Amino acid sequence: MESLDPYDAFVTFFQEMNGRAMTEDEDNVIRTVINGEKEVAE
Amino acid sequence: MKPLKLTMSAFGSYAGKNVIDFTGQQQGIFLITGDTGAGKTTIFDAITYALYNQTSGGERNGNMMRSQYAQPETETYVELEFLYRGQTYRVRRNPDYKITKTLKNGKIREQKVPHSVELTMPDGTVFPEKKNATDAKIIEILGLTADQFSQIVMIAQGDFLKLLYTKSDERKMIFSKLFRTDIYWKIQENLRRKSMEMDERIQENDRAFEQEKSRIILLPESEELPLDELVERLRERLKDALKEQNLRRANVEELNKKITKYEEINKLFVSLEKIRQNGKELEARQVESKERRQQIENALKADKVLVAEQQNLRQQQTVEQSVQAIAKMEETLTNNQEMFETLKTQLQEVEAEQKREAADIQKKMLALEQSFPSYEALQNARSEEQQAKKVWEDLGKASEESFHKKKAGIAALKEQQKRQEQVVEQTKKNWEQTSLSASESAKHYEHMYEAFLKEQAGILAENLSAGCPCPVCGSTVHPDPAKLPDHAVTELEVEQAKKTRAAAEEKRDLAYAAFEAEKTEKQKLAQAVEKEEADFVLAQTIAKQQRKEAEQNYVSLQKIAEQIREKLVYPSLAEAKKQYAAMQKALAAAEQEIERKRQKVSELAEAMNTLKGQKLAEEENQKTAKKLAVKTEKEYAKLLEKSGFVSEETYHLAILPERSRSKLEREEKEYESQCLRQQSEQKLLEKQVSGKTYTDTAELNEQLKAEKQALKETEKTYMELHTAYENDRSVLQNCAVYLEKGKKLESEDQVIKSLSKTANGRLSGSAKIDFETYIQRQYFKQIIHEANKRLLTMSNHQFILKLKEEANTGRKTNEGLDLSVYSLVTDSERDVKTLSGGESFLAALAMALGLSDIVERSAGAIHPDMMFIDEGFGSLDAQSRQQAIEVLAELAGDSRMVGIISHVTELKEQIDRKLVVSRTDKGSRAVWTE
Repeated sequence: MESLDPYDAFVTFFQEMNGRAMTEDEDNVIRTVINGEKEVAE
Repeated sequence: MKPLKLTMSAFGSYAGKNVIDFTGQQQGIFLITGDTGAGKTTIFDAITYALYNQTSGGERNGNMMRSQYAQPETETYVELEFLYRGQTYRVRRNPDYKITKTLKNGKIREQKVPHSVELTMPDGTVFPEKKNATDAKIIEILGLTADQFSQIVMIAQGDFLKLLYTKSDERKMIFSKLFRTDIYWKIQENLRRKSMEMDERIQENDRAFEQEKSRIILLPESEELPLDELVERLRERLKDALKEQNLRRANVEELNKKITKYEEINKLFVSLEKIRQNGKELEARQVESKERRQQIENALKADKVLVAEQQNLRQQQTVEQSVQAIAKMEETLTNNQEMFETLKTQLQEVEAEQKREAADIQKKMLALEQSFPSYEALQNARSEEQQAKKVWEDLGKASEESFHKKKAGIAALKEQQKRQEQVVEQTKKNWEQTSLSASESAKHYEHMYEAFLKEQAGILAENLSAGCPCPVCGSTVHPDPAKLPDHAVTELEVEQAKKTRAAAEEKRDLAYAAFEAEKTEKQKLAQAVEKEEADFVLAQTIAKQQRKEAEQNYVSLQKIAEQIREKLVYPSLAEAKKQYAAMQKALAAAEQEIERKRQKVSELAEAMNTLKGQKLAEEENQKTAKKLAVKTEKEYAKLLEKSGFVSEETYHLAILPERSRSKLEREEKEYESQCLRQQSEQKLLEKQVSGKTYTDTAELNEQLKAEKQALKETEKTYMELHTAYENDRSVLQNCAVYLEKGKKLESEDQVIKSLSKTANGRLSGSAKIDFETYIQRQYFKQIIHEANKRLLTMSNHQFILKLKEEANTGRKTNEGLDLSVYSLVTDSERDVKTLSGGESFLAALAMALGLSDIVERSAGAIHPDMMFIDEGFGSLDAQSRQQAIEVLAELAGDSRMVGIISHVTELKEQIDRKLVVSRTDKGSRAVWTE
């Protein structure tokens, strides 16, 4: 079972849940959050 | 992970040490069978305990696992050797327990053993950390916690069902660890936290804005104005207030200048008045000054006369002293003359008396000198007398001591003699007794010998035999041989009696010899006593004679000495010489006394001559002093007249001590100085006020006071306006900032809220699935997919599992992992809780196996190479059971070991490899059988 990339997974998840793509601001925030968590995990 | 060897010692129902070797069962299915309570589950408990310090059910703590059947001295521990990813590890663990130990001295002692764990790594080293770190290391190696291990590796039927029926939230936690979805949860948590933080920041900004607004200072007439207009209004009013304030300040300054100028002129007039008043006072003191100056002048004149007067007085005094001295000398001379005459007479009398006494003493001394030989004779006679006395006394003492010694010697001899008599008596008695004994022994021997001789016939007859000749008679026929009596004396007894006699006689002879020797000694002692007593009597007689002669000699010498003594004045020569020396001393003392008196007369005569000379000299001095006194008296009178004093009394009154005169001079000088200063200051002030007038400043001061009050009020108003203006201007600026910030925060919050609500499944009008659940759902779909592959076979194509559709998850959060059952027969969907016991077993088993498949494939971190299935087969019918075994056998394949724990009889026939667990009186035993 391949692990899913958090950002890609969230993009899909967001699209499914909201029926729209993320705005530029939303995209920037989620990228920052995911990168931060990845750094912590590493 | 696969177990290789499990050692249990005093653990659970296993009382002693039990070793289960799993190396022969590393793949395929095997059965663990035994009666209920035999200890089957304890094997799994032991594995779980060794790895996690927990039992498989998690219900019993490891510390409770000490076997109740164990011997007191048996150690409790579990040691598990296991294979993981081709590496062999060994973990040994023991709980807290008490063990009994026998000491060297034989005593038994109970000892507490603390809980410990030891992990041996593949390279043979022991993991060096303490218990908690070792536990963590084991979890890190296996990649599973105790609970996960129990659910995935050692899954009991209950646990299958638990996984089947567990709620989404609990299932989510298991999957989170299995598939490492915690990062998705962290992302959603991060967004949720950010959203909350954003709320807080917005609230904080709002609060700060409100707080800032509350700082606005309002003016009564400007309450309704907007803040920016209020600030403008304040600025205009502040400008007006400043103008007014400056005007007031100028007025106050102008008034201050005027008042200062007038007051300075007025001060000059006041000073001039004061200095004039001072001049009047000084003028009033002029008479006093004049008198003081006169007094000083007179004193200076008197000082000049005073010198001559004092000189005259001193000279007059000198003359008077001389007169007195001469009178005193004359008186002394008269007294000394009388004393001289008296002393001279006394000297003559003493000399005559001394002459008489000296002649008498010299006469006595001559007589004493002539008697000295007689004294010496007396001394010799007394010496001889004392020697004779000593001889007489010594003889007495010596004879006494000699007699005492002699008496003691005689007494000792007599005592010895007495003891010797006793000894003689004793030896005599001894001799008599031994004599008696010797006689008796002799009689006895003779008696024995006589009896022996009488019995000789009987003795010979005893040895006679027919045909042998008699030693006495030579007959070979012995018709009537002599008879030997019953108590016949033997030759041995005779010989013994003979020896006894000889010994007694020897004893007697020795006793007699001793008696004779002691008797001789007694006689010697008697003779010695007699001789000593005779010697003593003779010695007494001689000693008495000698003493008598010595006494007569002593008495005779005593008489001679007494006769010489009667003719002499003094008792001894020493006394006579002592008296002679005393007379010599008295003669010398008398001579000295006369000489002393002569000296005294001579000294007195010399003193009188000296005094006469002094008197003559003093008379000459007196003449000269009288001449000088006449001269000084004239000089004084001349100066007094010249000084101008009316009389001598006036002159005397003018005399002043130096200190008083100096004081007057200082006072006069100060007065003159004051006068000069006053005149100078008065002139200066008169010049300064020339052409000026005195002005009253009271009205101006009133004006100034009013103006100052007005200024103060103006300043206060200005300060209030200034404070309000500055404050409100600041509030205006800050509020603008907060408003701007609020707008920005609202914008950011909109973005964060959108993301957070989405990630945390809180979107309105949408499925309540959070981000992590969404991801897990993707994995779970795969698990169900895997499970259904087996479930189709196991359920005989009756049903499969189905994950609830997103659209059907409802509005409740986290329903995204809920399961349902899809019947292939009826083509309908129902809840998993509607499954029967057998169906539940198959569904749970399929799902657990699906889990294992997923876990095995995911990340490659966890390898559950073994699986134990505890019970649950009893509820299956034969077909279902066969299906399950086929599925498990297929699952085990070539690499996985699957242990089925069951007491179901049919399974024993269906599975070849079996670990049989039995219970005995000494605890459980586990043995592999084919």
